[in-house]
Amino acid sequence: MSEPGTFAANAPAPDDLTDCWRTNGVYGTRTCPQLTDYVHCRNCPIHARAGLEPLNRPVPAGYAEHWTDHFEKEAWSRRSRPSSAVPFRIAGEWLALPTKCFLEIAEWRPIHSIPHARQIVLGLANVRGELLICISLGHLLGLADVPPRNLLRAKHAPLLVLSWAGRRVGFPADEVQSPSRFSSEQVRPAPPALAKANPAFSESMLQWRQRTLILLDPDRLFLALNRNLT
Amino acid sequence: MLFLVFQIGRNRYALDSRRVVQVLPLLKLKCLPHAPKGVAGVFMYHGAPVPAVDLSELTLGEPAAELLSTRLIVLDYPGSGDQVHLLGLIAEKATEVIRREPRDFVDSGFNIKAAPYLGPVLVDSRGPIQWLREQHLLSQSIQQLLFGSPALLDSAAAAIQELPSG
Amino acid sequence: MTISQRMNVALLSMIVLMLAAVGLAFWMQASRVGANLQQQRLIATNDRICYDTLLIMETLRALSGDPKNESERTRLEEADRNLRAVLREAQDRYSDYAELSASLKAISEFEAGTAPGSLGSLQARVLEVADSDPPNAAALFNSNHRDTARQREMLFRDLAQQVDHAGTAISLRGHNASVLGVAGILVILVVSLLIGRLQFTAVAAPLLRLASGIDQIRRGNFANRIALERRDEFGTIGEGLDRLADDLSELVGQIQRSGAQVNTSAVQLAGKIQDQQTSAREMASTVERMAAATKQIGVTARELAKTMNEVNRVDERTADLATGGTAAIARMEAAVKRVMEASASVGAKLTALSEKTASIDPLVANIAKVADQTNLLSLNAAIEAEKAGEYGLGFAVVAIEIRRLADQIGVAIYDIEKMVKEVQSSVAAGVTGMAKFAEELGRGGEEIGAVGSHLTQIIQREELLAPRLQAISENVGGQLTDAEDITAGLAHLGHAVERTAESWRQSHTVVDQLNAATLGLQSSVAKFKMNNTPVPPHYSSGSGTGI
Repeated sequence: MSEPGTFAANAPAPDDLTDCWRTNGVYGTRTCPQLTDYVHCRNCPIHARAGLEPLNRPVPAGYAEHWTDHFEKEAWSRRSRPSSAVPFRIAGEWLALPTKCFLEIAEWRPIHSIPHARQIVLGLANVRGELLICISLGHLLGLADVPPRNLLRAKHAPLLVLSWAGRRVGFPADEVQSPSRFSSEQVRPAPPALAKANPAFSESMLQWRQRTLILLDPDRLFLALNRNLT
Repeated sequence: MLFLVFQIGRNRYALDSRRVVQVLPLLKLKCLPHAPKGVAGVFMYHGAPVPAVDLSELTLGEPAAELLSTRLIVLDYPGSGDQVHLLGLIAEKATEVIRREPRDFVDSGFNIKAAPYLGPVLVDSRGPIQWLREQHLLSQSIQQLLFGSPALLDSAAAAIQELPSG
Repeated sequence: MTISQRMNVALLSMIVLMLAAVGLAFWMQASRVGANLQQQRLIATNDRICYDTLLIMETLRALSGDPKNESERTRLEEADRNLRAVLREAQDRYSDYAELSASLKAISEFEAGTAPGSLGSLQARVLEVADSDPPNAAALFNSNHRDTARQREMLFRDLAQQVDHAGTAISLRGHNASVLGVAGILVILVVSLLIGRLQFTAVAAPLLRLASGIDQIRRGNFANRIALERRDEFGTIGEGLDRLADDLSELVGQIQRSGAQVNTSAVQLAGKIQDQQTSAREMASTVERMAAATKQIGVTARELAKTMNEVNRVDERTADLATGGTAAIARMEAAVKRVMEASASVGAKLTALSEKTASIDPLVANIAKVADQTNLLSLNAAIEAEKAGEYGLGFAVVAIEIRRLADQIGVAIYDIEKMVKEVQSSVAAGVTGMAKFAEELGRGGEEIGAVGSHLTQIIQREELLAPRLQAISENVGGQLTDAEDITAGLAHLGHAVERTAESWRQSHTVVDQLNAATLGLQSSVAKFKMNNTPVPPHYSSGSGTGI
């Protein structure tokens, strides 16, 4: 960098690629000195650049047209950025929460009940070595009529872990879908009766794959939760 | 700080990733009539027309090669006032991101009047990478053409909608 | 000197020796019969002399009693004449036997002589007295005949003894002739045995060397050369076999090199496939299409196995033909022609296989699309994570993992394209090898034809060669059994290839079997001993660690 003006002329020439991972790498003699640093060829920058090499080929026929069609559809308003939400099902009802309040979607694990706990508290579960309070969201929202203890036995039910306003909490769901994007046009106000029935509900409805979801507001939800727990 | 790295010719450049909305594969563009050199055309992005600039053509005069590694970078382009426009940049070998701090870049030592977008330079094991300041990329006349009259883009969008794709 | 000329000379000398033996036998028989005849004649002469002497004595006795008896006088004269004739004849004939002729001379002196007491003086005096004084004749005879009779008995005894001696000598001579004849026949026998032995070594020794040379080739030792250095038919056969060994050695060397190359490719491909399978979960649809293409390759491999079975059947038929002798050689040529056709078919199948590998290209293009999308996903994920700030830290790790996944897909494409190129060049080498093999077979067929015509000539002239030929044809049978084993091994390999095509998504063990089968093929090829055998590389298929 002593002569800043000359670097453009000294641009690196395209290196000669060798399949060193097959000769002296992990698929060969394992004698490459770099292996002590990288452990596996996957971590080596030579491997990474070899992985990019096949992208330097002509665009296949029909490829650009396909993606042009893809991005042309799904109209968003010019100024509204898409939001993301995770749809899930509880007590036969499809709900959604914004993706940003999710910490993790974990597999089912045993929930150890706490004696003399409130009804909506199912117990404690071990998630990555930390104890997590698990609640029955259905009971919090007044949707479920089954005893909360039954939820403890429902294996294969995913455990959804939320983190919002400094509080972490988990709840089992019957089913969960991958995060979906939606634009503000897809959000409609909910019937006023719904919000009145339970303050934890927001007044938003979301149109998602020919289905109408109730889009929960995390602020209201955690407010209701704190009220119930304390 | 995360930078999106790409090439113009044989030189590498970095783009602040916070400006990047999405990296797309090279899409089919609708040519703009009488467009100045470097303006490759218009494409539809979620129902809205977005203008695209070919960086190779803009700086070197040769259009970018039609390879898989040549990508269409959608970024926020600051307009006049608070306005932010979407702009597509066609860049070769836009396949990597790097994490670097702004202080890792050093001043190149001179400023070229014709290329105000060239920023400080970083050197890694494969050579130098120059920070490309996207907000200075387009000349006033091109900005005026692309973002000054929304009617132009809308008419182009209408043309795209009417024509069968491709 | 050719074998036929040698055979003719031997046959001719045998005929001459046989004629000599027959002559000797005749000569022996004649000698024995002649001796017997001579003995009988000697005994007859003896008897005649005794009879005539006694007759003279008796007629003299009669004349002494009756001198006027003319008939007795005539008988006396006749007997006297006969005796003289017999004695003269006997003396002439048996002059070789000194003692016998002395005895005969004594008798003739006794008959004709004048010594007192001899028959001649008695006869002369009796005849004289009978003419002059007839009444005293009888008295004279009676007073003298005892002395004469005594002399006569002495002479007779001597004669009998000498005749006996002469007879023994004659029979001894006949016996000697027999001994001589037997010795001559023995000599002829020894000479003919010597000729036979010479003939045997001239034919058997080169045949033994040819048989051992063929045995070496059967065991796959192409380094051995027969090098008979003879100018006869065996020399021609030996040269042909040596040339065949040269060609086969070169061909097998090429096959070994190709095999090692294919094995290296197969082993590397196997390791890559194992690694690839984990990545393949990310691109299931593409891999399914690839599996369909591989199934097509499997169909081709099945056809290949079927062709191999046909070759096997031809080989079995060739084994049957080999037992049939000269007529089978003609059929063997036809079989060689069919093997040529089958090898041409194998070549065509290899070409089809090469074309099938070309169909991998569009699939690779599809994987490239997946790699492109994965790379884009990693870029966008990293950018989104960055924009999410603190919330995106976990997702940034995921973005890095996606980037690694994209890199691995890209490296897989790089490796697949390289390996497809290697397989195609290996198959091309195989096609060249098959063409060369067909050419060698053609030349082999011509040489079999030439050897066949030579064999036909030899068998027509000499039945002695038949057992040796039987041994050769048994060797050929053994060779064909070995060929059947190899064909079975190849069919096994075809089976393994077929199974690999069907189940490469499901099982790694099938890849191991393919590896084991190629290693088996290599070891069976490696038993061909040659001047510079390449060392086959050994890999384990489990070298890939996967993700």
